[in-house]
Amino acid sequence: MVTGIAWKNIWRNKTRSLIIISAIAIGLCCSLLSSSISFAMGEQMIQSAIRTRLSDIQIHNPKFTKDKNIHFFIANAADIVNQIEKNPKLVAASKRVTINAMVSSPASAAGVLVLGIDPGEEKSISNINNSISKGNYFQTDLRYPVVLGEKLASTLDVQLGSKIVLTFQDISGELTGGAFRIAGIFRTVSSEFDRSNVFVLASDLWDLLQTDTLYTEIAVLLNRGANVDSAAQSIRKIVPDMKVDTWRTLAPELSYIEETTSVSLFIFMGVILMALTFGTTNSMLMAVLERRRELGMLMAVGMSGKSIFLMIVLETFFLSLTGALAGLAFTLIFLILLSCTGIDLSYFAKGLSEYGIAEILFPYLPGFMFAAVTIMVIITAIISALFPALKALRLRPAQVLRM
Amino acid sequence: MSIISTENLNKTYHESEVPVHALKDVNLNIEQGEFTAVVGPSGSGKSTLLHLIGGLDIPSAGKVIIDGIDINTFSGSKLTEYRLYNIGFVFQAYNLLPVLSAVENVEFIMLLQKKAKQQRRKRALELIDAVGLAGRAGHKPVQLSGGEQQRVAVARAIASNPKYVLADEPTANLDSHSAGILLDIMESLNNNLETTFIFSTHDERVVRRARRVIELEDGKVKGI
Repeated sequence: MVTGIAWKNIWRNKTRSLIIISAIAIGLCCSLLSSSISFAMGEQMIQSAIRTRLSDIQIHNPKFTKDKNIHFFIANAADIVNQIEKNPKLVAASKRVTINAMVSSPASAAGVLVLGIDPGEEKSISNINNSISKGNYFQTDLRYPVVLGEKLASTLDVQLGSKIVLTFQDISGELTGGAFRIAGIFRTVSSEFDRSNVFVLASDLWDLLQTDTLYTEIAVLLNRGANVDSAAQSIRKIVPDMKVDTWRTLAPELSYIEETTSVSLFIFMGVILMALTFGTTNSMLMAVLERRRELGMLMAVGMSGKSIFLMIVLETFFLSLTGALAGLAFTLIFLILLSCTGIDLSYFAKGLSEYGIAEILFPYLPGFMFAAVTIMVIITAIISALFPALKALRLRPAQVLRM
Repeated sequence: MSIISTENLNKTYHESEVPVHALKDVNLNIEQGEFTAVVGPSGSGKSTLLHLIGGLDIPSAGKVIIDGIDINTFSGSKLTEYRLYNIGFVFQAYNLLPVLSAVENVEFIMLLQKKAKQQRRKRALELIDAVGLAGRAGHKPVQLSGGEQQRVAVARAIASNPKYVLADEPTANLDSHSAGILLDIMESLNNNLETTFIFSTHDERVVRRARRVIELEDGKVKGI
């Protein structure tokens, strides 16, 4: 019955309770929505890196990771792919030849990473084929076709069909190179990627390198949500002599984004909830002071201090929880709506593309955030209840009943 | 046999710079089944006496002995429990819980005593009936008149079958008609159940109905 009375008590002053509930709901909703935008930005940066160059897992010859010399290739790349493809978490794997090279045009030159690929395989792990803005993705009869980013094309001042020259070291360390014709130009959400990567056919690179089939990298894409670390661990068991890295170790700055986003959001939520705690405490303190005589009566007729304390704590808890549930419900509604429409950030597109963030952002919140925020609200509700509840306990019935 | 006795009871308030001696060496004996009024002008110590007898306040000196036990030797929680099972309270301002109906207010004391739901609802309805509010059991305090609220308060006070009921100015806020009904109810409960009633009052109507009058003046018993 203490629970029932506590619930009824919060509706005695509807206006005051609704103000507190609204403050909690709006505060929570706004902070969760802004958090969802941060999460989406972070996730988009990570996904953009994974779906362009990085992929979830990369396999290399251990020596290649220290010295990017093509001499340190993966001897039995096709066999490795055949073995790891049995892993149910794996979506696809693509074999690549990667070489640091100099690209030059009549107008300019730049350092780039050349990725020699099999377009069929690469399509299944990368979304470059879907990011083609001009031309096509190796569907051409051109000899030595190359696909490069808009930014690089602009730097080199080249067009579709223009010729560029790639210069790199061969397997014996001698300079070699060849002229490539631009078959496609892509535009991803990351300007940095677009200016520093070019795709060519692996077989063309073998021609220029005068080698047989040779790969330096196997890129692996996993199911969305699959545990990357455990998948990497199982691949390590299959290829113990290879270096198996996850995107977290390959791009620690992205891993850092993922970690700091969660931590900073918890700090942000903590600050918001702390501010709300003061409002709730103030409101409950007013309620206790207004009901001094009633609380005195309850003490007089034999209600224990423990029950009175519990009643005030429950009132604060219900008030906060109602606000929190309303806030979470509004957040969920907004997120569902925004998951259909997205947030148009095209005004900031130029700046965002430097960070690998798209113009349309689809905010989302991981499920654990809802649970964590609910727990945080419960903790802050209890904290904000303590002072009013202790104040109630300190009332002396003889004194308040005389008032 | 005395169920309540006070021995050299003193109460001094130190809430202002000048100490206020609310009670001075009060010695009283109250028997089982008494219907007693404590009278006196404002500030004479009536409410203080009731608060001390009810274990709501601690005497500065002296003892309050109930059934042979000095209640001030009890710990805070023991005293709370003692009040729950042995003392009924009726207040001038009714002090019903506004969020509960009349019958729920009566039931509330039995709930604190952890009585079974069916048992407490049955007794609460009987008591509501006994105070003449059978048709108003489901009404909230705000829907009841002052007299009706005070009748609910009386039903609540006797819900736990207390040894005695302390009523602090119970008719002060009531019109003559309501006060008369309330006194009839309390008198009838006193006669039928032998519940001891002790009132503090200014009200001549109550004084006339009391079978014993204790007169206080300046914190001292002037006459019994």
